[in-house]
Amino acid sequence: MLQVDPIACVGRGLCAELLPELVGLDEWGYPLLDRNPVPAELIPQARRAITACPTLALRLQVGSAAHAEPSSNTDPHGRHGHDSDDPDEDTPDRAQERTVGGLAE
Amino acid sequence: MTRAWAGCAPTIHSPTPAPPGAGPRLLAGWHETGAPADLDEHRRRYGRLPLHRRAGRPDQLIEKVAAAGLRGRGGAGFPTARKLAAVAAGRRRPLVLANGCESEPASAKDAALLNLAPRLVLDGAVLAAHALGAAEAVVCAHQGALALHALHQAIVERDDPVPIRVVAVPPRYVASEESALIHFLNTGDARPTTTPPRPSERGVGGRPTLVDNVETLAHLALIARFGAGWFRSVGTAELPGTLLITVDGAVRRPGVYEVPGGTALGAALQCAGGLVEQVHAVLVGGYAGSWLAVPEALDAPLTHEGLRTAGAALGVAVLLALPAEACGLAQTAHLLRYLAAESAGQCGPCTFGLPAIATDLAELVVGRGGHAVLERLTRRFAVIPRRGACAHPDGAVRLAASALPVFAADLAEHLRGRRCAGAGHQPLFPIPGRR
Repeated sequence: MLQVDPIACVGRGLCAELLPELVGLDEWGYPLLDRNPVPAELIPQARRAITACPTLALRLQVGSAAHAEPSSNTDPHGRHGHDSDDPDEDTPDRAQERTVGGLAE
Repeated sequence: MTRAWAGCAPTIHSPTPAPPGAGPRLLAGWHETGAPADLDEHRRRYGRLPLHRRAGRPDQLIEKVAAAGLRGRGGAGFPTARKLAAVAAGRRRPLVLANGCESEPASAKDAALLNLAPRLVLDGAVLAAHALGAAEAVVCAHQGALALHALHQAIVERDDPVPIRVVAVPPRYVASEESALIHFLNTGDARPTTTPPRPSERGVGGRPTLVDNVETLAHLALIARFGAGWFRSVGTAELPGTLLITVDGAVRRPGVYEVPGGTALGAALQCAGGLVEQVHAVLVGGYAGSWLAVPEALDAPLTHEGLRTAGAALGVAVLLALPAEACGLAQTAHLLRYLAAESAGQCGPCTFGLPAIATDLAELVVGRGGHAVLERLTRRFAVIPRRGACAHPDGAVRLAASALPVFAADLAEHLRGRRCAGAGHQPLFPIPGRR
């Protein structure tokens, strides 16, 4: 599944150019990612998009399809809100997941 | 800003203090004497700190807190025992962070607690730190907060097995978010970061860090003394114990109150003396919370699940009663403008999206743009959430989206190009940085 580091991302948009099947852009130029696992035939293209990202913001999360996104708690005073907690404790074992990103591949 | 508890029971002094009765717990001292307790009074009322004989033995405390069902009072309501266990499982020596920043402008509960009962907060921080074998406990409050003084005073008199220090944090809305706090302590930059790693794994100085709201730690300090059964003797199964709430707006006695978990929203408003004028809506949870229509909302219980069912979130338990003569959309537009300005500016959807929806709302309020603006606003609601490093944009969208159905009548008028009397009003609720 494709993921973007929202802080690193500056909205350059190369990902959407190289992988339009899975990446759209919002009105401000920031990526809207397909939330399904990347189909096998698109993996090479996905890797090119990941390598092309000038800030290494794009990643491919390999393994279980569970959320690994940073903001899975919609409570504003939650993990993202003020001193909160860790909603991610409920997600499947992270040891199962490998991350492929940047120039690692 | 604290006020009376309805039906306060007198506290009995004895050599072994009795657990607080069916009345205020955290604010018991204040209710009795009208002043913050000094150390002697604190010890008389609550007894000495029940530290385990040895440091780094967290099981007993974790068990008690788990049995008590204590949930975090910083907004998310995460089970405190699970957080303690996560930090205890770390390899390196952990650290305890007591979060008293309370950057939600409408909330005053943490300030009240820190000013009136700082020793309870410090007790809780020390108990947790000692049990976890932590290197130190750090209490955080915003720069300029009165609480800093109360904390310094309280710490100077103590002799704890774990050192406590106080840190002043920049007074920005997102600075009190968990990852932002840790980022600030590590680097001086008070902006949120992405996880992983989670604070319980690697936080301050790379150590497992327990981040708890100051109210949570105060409850912990009482649970450690009086037990889980006592804690659960008030409140509901979902939200045992008491919680501090801030009630403001069109109520007779705005202030901070301590109520049992599960108290109905209407009853909470009654604690504050009830409504002083016609009210059609209450903002629940704070500036990033949700509007609920009155009178339908009055039965909603103040619990995380109960409010979620009602279409809101408990958050930091703020209730703002909006006078009927005000324009809820105009007030929401003011809040959105504030929330947009408080973006850390790190993530595109937040940095650009929040000002965009703030402007959309402002246009609607002055009767400009009509349905086209409403459609654009609704599209933006779908696109902004869950795309930032923290939930700041999610909260802003939640607030704005909740306003549309609750103030549907006002909206209809604005869409017809008509301004209402309330449209030009100044913000009714405090907005930092504005006169």
